[in-house]
Amino acid sequence: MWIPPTVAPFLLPSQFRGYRPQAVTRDSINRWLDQFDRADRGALIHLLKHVVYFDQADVEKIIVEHNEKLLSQLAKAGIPPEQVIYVQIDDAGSSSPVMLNLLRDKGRLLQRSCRLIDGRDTLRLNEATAELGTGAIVYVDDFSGTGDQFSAAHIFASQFIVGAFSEFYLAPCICEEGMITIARLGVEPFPKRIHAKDDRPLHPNCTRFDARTKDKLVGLAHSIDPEEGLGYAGLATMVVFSHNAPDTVPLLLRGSIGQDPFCGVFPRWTDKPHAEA
Amino acid sequence: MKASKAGKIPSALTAAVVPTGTLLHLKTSDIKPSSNNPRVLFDPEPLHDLRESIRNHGVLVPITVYPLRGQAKYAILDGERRYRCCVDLEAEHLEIEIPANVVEPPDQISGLLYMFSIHNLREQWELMPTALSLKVVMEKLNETDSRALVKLTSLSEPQIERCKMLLTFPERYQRMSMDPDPTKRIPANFWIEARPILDLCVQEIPALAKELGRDGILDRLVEKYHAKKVKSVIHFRRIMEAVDLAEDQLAKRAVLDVLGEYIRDVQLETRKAFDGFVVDNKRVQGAIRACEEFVTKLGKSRLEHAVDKEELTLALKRVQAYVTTLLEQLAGSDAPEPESLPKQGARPTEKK
Repeated sequence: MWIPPTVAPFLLPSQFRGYRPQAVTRDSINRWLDQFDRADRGALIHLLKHVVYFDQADVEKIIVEHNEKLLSQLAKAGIPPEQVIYVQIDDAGSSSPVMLNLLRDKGRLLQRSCRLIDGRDTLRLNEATAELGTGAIVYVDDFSGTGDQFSAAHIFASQFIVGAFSEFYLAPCICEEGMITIARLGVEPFPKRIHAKDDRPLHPNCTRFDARTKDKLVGLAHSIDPEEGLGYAGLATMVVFSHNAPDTVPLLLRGSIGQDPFCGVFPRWTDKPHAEA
Repeated sequence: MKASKAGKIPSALTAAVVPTGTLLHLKTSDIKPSSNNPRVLFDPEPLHDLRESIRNHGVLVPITVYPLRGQAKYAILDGERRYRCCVDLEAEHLEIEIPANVVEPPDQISGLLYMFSIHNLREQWELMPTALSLKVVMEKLNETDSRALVKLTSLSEPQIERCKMLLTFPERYQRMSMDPDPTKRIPANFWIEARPILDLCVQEIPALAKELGRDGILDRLVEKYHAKKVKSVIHFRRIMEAVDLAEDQLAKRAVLDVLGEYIRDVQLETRKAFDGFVVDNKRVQGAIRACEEFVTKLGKSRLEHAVDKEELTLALKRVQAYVTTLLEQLAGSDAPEPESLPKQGARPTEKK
């Protein structure tokens, strides 16, 4: 598929408003496009149009509404909010605590007597579950790709859970690979959106781009990094949050680590040069 | 619940599993695996046999499950191995229905006691989660007697004692053994091995205890562990061994002085600090054994009436001279070594 370069991405910057690691502007998109042959730019714009962008307001709305749905489901099953433990699954610098803080404030979790625990604080997890004996544990994050990170954290933390607890993974978006991994742990994935392989133009199972265009773009991604060019585990995901892009997003969109030699449209905080990070 | 007599299981626990009379046929996706990490729970070989049996005949004995509130799944109480096999077979595109007896959800204590039975099967299980679960059992049942806890939990008495010892450490130390990052986690054995050292410091080095406090001493040991100056927590035993082997107050004082230095200097490695005391003493013990063996062997040889006495007499004289010199040296004598005698530490050699 070839799209003439004259289809300038005038509207794209407004779609990606508020990307915090680096503002997405016409200039930044043009700077990104300028790194490629003119003949490839149409396909790159087309790729950019497949990005699923969640701004702060989207994330807030989704996580709060979805949490209400979950609490309502739990209440019907006889689990009041006081028996619900919300757990962040990663350290302070990552997105899970950001999401939990957001939910705490916007979802008024403390006013409802829900408990909030850092998943690494296994002593508190043990004490809280021992005290309640039964209820629900809700792990909160923004996104899950393979589910491996959660799986590792869950395997350790679950040793400290005492009693009969239903477990949920609440996130605005989960990849279909992550859905399987999380469900295998006995934890019920509770996403607003499942990010299917077919939603990711550079994924081997996706047929949205013609073979020639796809091969070209995948080749470009691998020229940035032969191992992780398509993002972590080759997932080639297209979901980007205004607070950060997951590491499963192809480097074609994120740029090289340190943004040198290749700059991206959606660098992660950790992709940026150290001076800016 | 009142405290039970030692070794007597509270009757409320005997009726832990209440059947509802429902037999269901479930898919693996309907079942929540045990959260107690079954992946490392079972030996692969028997699991292979079971998997082949299920492949050929299906699941013949129903598993036991209970419904989870709020989640459209059943949690396994009994039958984790059968479930695991079905999951494996499903990966081979074999769809298997699992017969399951549905029971009422167990109460918290019953669930905990079931968990202990799983802990017992796991070698790799960290002791700290077991200790915390034991704490819940002790609190809920108001039971602290070790023998009663052995019967309740199926843990061994030494395990119970170790768990109890872990629980005596302040929370902030317990947390250190619960860090999800294995590179930062302090093994539970660290606390168990460090405990006698702590007690020793507090009892025998009051100046150090006053200066740092018990927790301060423990903090230094933790710091030392992170600095990789405790290569193995078992090396703490050398400290106690050095104290035990000290023959008099002077020798003990020397060990305690080094212990004080060892606590203060984070970079001082355990073996480097204490091997001298232990190894030297081991040499002495070895020499005593050698003397006893020598005398016993000579006695058994019945040499009093030997024919070729000349060579034997010379050999015995060399031994006599060596022993005399050594005794003089041990007594503090500065007598010069006779040139004809073997050097100290050298073994008497045969005459050629």
